[in-house]
Amino acid sequence: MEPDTNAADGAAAPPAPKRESQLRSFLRHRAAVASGGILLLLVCAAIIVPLLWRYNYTQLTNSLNTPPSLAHPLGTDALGHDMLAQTARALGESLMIAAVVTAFAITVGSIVGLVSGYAGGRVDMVLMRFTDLIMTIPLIALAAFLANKAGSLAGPQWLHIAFVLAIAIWTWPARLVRGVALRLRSEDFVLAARASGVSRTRILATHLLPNAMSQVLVAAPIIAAVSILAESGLSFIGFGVQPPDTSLGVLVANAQGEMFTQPWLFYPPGLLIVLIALCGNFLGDGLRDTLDPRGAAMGALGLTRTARETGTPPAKPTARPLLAGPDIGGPGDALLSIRGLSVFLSDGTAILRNVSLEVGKGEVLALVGESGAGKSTVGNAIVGTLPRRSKTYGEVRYEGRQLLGLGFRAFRSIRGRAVSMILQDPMTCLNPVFTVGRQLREAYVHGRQESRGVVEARLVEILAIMGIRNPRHCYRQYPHELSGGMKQRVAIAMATCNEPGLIIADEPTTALDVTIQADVVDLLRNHCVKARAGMLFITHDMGLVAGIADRVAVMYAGSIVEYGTVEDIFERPTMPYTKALLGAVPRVGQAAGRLETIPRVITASRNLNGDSCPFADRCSVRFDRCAETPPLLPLGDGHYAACWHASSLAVEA
Amino acid sequence: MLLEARDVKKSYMSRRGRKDSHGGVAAVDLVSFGLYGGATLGIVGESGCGKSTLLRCLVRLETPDAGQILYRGADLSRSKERDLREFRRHVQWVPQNPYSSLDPRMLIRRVVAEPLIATGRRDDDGEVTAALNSVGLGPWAAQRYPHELSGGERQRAAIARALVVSPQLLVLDEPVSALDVSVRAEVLNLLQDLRTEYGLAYILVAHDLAVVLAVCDRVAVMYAGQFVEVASAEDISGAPAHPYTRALLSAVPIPDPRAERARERILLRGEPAPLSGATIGCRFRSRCPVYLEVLDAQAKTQCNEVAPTLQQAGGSSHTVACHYPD
Repeated sequence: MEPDTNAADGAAAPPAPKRESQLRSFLRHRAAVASGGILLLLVCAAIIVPLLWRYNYTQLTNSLNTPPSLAHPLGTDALGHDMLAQTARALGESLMIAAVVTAFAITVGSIVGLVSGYAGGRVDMVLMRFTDLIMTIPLIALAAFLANKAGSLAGPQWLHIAFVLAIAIWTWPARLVRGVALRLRSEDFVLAARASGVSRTRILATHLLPNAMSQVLVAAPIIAAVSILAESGLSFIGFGVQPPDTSLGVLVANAQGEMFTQPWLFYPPGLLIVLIALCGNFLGDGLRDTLDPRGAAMGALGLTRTARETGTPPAKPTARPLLAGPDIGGPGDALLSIRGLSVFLSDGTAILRNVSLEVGKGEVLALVGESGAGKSTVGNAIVGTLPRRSKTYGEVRYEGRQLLGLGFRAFRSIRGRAVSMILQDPMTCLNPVFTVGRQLREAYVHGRQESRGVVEARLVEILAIMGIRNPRHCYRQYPHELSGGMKQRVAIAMATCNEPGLIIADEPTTALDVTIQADVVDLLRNHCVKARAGMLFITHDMGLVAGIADRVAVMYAGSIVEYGTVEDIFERPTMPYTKALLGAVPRVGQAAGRLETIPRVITASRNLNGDSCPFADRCSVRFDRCAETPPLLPLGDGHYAACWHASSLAVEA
Repeated sequence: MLLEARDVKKSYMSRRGRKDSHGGVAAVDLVSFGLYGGATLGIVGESGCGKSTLLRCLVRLETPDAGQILYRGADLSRSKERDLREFRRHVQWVPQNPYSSLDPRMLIRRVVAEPLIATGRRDDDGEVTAALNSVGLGPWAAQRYPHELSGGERQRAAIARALVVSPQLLVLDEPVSALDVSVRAEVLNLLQDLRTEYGLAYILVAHDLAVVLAVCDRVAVMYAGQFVEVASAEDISGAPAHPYTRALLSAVPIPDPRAERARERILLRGEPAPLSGATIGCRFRSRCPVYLEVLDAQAKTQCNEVAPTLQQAGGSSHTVACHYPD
């Protein structure tokens, strides 16, 4: 017996998503792939050349100090060693040391880091103090000591060097992994595992280790590069690899006196050191971008200039009549006027489809929809913060001026001045290292000439208007000293201090408690009325909409599906999605019964470029006409619905 | 009785890194309640009131500093991990954020099977599929990674993980706050159906009163680490006694423009008070509309000096911690 009558199990499983393998995404990073290739080549050279070349690295020939020739492609040194053989041997030695050091550092560092980070408390303290202690060991002295005992200690000599370096370097991945473990151990999935009774070791092995692995893999090539450099350094001062064995550092040390007279002795090993270090770093970059894509670079300041395309959007343009202006004045009076706005991502998917709306002075328009409907995108389109390389069509006019496609400089006079935005999460939209006053000043003084004292007085006054009880004190405080409600009030102060004509509020109360929310919403509404500013209030909460909005636009899958006054939407919802949205809201005082739900959509890539109504596959009243996208049909008095059923209602109205 | 809490207290160290003489910040301060099998209790409160901490103590993710937590009469508040095995099997926790409650590197199949392995049972495909079915996810979901599922689907997977060991009590921390409106409705319906089908008991924490009322029979309102009112769902919405409950009710937006704009809002002045240090008297008085606007100086002394405890008010199962409830 299935509890949920809308269950899609068994039937229509969503199609399997394409998983781009990590290998493929790594291969797109050209510098990293090239670096990896070069390192691989060097490793092969280090193995193959000694096997095939006619000279051995210890062999003394008769040609002394000869420059490169056919017989000796890298020349010979003062004792008659063939430099190609020596360099190949040196390369192999250095790489081997680097490999051993990396392997040891990664393994020991990961274990120590994981245990320390996850266990916390005393274990963490002991392990970290131990790590600190290790870092105080004077490496050079240790290396010198071992170099002196070169003959009497067991094992190949290069292993001693590797040992010295490994002792020093493992502390770095240990700290790295500890940081990751500290973060991971309070993640919900780890807590859930603990609450289910999973043992500590199992949690470490199955949850923490795989998640920490990506960081460790990124660090590995960099550790290798560092150990090559460190080993070269030690060998250069004579405490590294000892003769007759050789390494890149030894070769450089031997050659530095003759750098100008016999350059063929100096440059090959020197360049190899540089090459290996660089390749290690690029490889590390590539791995980081593959395994942790959030670290990848963004456009300058994250702001991009989106090109405004002329002509019609690529998808078959639906003959959607543009929305006639609302009843407050004609189209010329509207503060914000959006017509036919369509936005496409760089890969062609449409995130907004032919959106038209208007906001008048002193009016609050609520843009309602669920996640993915595109409501934040509308806000972004107005202030010009759409994703990189997206294409936009249509018009966005503020007081008649086209905003789409404006350059950064032209936008400066608009952003924060004429049009300002209040963002969702007050916790992250304030800079934690600056005081409230400093951030307010930054938003306010842009272009003004007044003295600091005058500015401060004005800003403190604004803070008081926002309902902050001790504004002078708050002005000097840091964001972390404020509660969520206060932070949001500061954000609103920043958005309104320049008396913008249009305020875009993107889910401004989502992160706030319900009692604070009521306050903040009242504050916003009063400000708009007093300052005759228009507000575009973006939200998913129908209750808030009922309280603050004059007009409402309901969005679904990138289009507006219903538009009208707030009474129209709540009392006469026409589009089935709007009705379903209203029915899904649990209400206080309503008997605890089932809530209305919308049949689950197939979470495959929804074809927004298609021709049919975007809601058709979830609609309970669809019929054949729904294969054609309905335009916003007028129902009278400024109420529009994008539904073919509306046309029959329009006849009655 | 399935689960009972008696005078549970949990404090965190104050900012200076040591417990001051009052024991630091009391996140949960003397909370008591009882829950029978098959019953549902909703805990409502705003951020910082201690409800998440209380939940973590109940499932023993944290150890309470004082008080008892009794599971079927046995006190587990100080038990070691190995003695908690049976308890962990019967009491499962569903975390708040579906976007972080599933290990991003594990297939759903492994995620859902984890509690089975933890309680020493065999990792059985049949059990996993049955659990996924009962939350409305098909077998296809088992082969996906969490980021390939939507928010609602992820939350269902988290519930499936809790159900796979056939628990008796589900402890849910804000199960729908991170989800869209229509998806919330689905998950809330699912919770009701699961309760009917499997006779589950719930302890559900949320900051949205409407969510709690949709699923739970009884509601406890929490403020500054204490229960200030406990009553049935009808009584809480119909006859709220504590001023905070009344303020909460008036702050919940009504999706009806005429009603919403016409209503009289009880606005609480100021922010939730900081919890550090001991407080004498009622913790709510700095924001209480009754204290600030209605009471005279003599009546206020009662609130200033004596911390109110839960007393009967109205019906027998309706208790309120206030000196002047009405």
